Amino acid sequence: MCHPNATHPVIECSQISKVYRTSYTVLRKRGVRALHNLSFSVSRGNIVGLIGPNGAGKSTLLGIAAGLIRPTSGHMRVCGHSPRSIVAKRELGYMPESPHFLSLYSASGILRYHASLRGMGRREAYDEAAELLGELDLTDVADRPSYAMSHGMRQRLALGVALVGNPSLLILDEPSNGLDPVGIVRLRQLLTKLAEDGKTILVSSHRLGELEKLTSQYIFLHRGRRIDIQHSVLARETIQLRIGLLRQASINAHALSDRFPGCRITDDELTIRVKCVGEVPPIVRALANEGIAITSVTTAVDSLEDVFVRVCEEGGDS
Amino acid sequence: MKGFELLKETFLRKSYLPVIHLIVFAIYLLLYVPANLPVEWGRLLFVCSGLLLPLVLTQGIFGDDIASGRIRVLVTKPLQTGELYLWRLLGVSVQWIGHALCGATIILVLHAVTNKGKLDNFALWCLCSGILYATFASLSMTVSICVTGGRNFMVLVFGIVLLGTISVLAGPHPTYASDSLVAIIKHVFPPVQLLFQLANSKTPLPGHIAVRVLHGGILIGAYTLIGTVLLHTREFAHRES
Repeated sequence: MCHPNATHPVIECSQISKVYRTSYTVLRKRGVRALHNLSFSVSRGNIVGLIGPNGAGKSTLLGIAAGLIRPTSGHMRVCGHSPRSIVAKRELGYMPESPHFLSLYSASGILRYHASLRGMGRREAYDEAAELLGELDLTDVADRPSYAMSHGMRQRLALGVALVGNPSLLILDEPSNGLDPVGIVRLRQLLTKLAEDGKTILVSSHRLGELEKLTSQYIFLHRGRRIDIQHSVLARETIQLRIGLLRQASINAHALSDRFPGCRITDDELTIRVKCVGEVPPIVRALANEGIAITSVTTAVDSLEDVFVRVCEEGGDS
Repeated sequence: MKGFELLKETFLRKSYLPVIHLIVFAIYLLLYVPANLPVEWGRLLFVCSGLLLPLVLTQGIFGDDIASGRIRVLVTKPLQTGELYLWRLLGVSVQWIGHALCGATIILVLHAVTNKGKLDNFALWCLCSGILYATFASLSMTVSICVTGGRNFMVLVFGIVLLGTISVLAGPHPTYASDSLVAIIKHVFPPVQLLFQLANSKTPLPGHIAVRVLHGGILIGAYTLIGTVLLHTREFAHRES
């Protein structure tokens, strides 16, 4: 059991590699490498975002953590146990990317079904279903069969299925898929509350702006490897310094390009990337001393999305 | 509660399953309509409930879940994989018991009222139907773990056609190879012909019945074991988005 005072991390991943072998790749004595020597750990009560481009190995990693896939090498521990063990599964709530439900079951029936699979009695399962339906704003459609639900409702129901039995670890694959803006805000509030209650959440999402509002801890995967964005991209120029220029000003663009490699110059703006805000005043002062007429100075920190795009463009070399 | 939900699921997993039961009952009823129909009711029950019913009721029983990805949620629940397999096998078996009871009641009541058809060895036909059903169901479930969607149905139909074709082709001029092949298929496939012969004989010996029951039991056990191991060891990967 993942005790609140337990000292071990909720997820402990050590040197995990995964190679998929199909009949074709077996014949050619090679496989598709999805993960390569991946190590990380997640402590209790944290929300960790799993990000990366398509084919980066996110779903494979979630699958290994949920006990659906076996790693080729290395080991994963969930609450100190193998993810395929019953003990670990008691602590786990899993939400797949594309949830599917039996069409004849109602929303309430689906939650009761999953509650009973967790060993709850009839009364307990009813109470659990009612509570989760309320929490996920699905009470009005409690008796509606799953095939008659909207995509957003099904998504919320899938989250409810993951929450059945109050697991201490939630593994969520694209939970905000198909949710409307209000639904997304509510999802964020719910996940934040769950983390405050001590639940650990590993969430994969392509909605980076949304993920950024939810957490500041990420695992960035690229081609099966973890990229430490804190020490690679973030340590480089992640602040955009935008200097407004007077249109009539005579600017030697060539000289500026030599001085600030990678800068962008238009008729009325110069954009330079800097590592920290402290670098801004000397640059502005130097430009003013050179007689360049400056109309405005603004700075903007790169969003997670900007970082993501830059890392992907650079091919993940950190 | 867990067992009840898993049993219930085998009946409600597809909307047409209750309709299948009703269609078979309707066949029993309709066959009483023509006058002087020389039907042996036990034989009909054997074909309908022992041979056809398991193929339909277990179609895609795991394969549908694997194809839709629903299995990924099921196997993350604190359930032993063997437990999942056995509850489902029990679920489809309970369906057969209910079906056979209703079907037999319809046949016996209408026979008593109309006196049409024959009821020779009816209890033995019921027993053979049950063995055949359970063997086919367990084989179909195991095949369903290996082939996604409802294609386990096609695999079993192909097996039946293959067995029939080899038997017919090898019939006039049996060779060692064809005999061996038929013997292998007969022993690993649900014992349709053997059970048919058993229920068809006028005075079957108790020893013969016991051997057939044992044979069916061994096959059910073997398929269940293979299915459980396959379900436990199989990975449920998902394509990267």
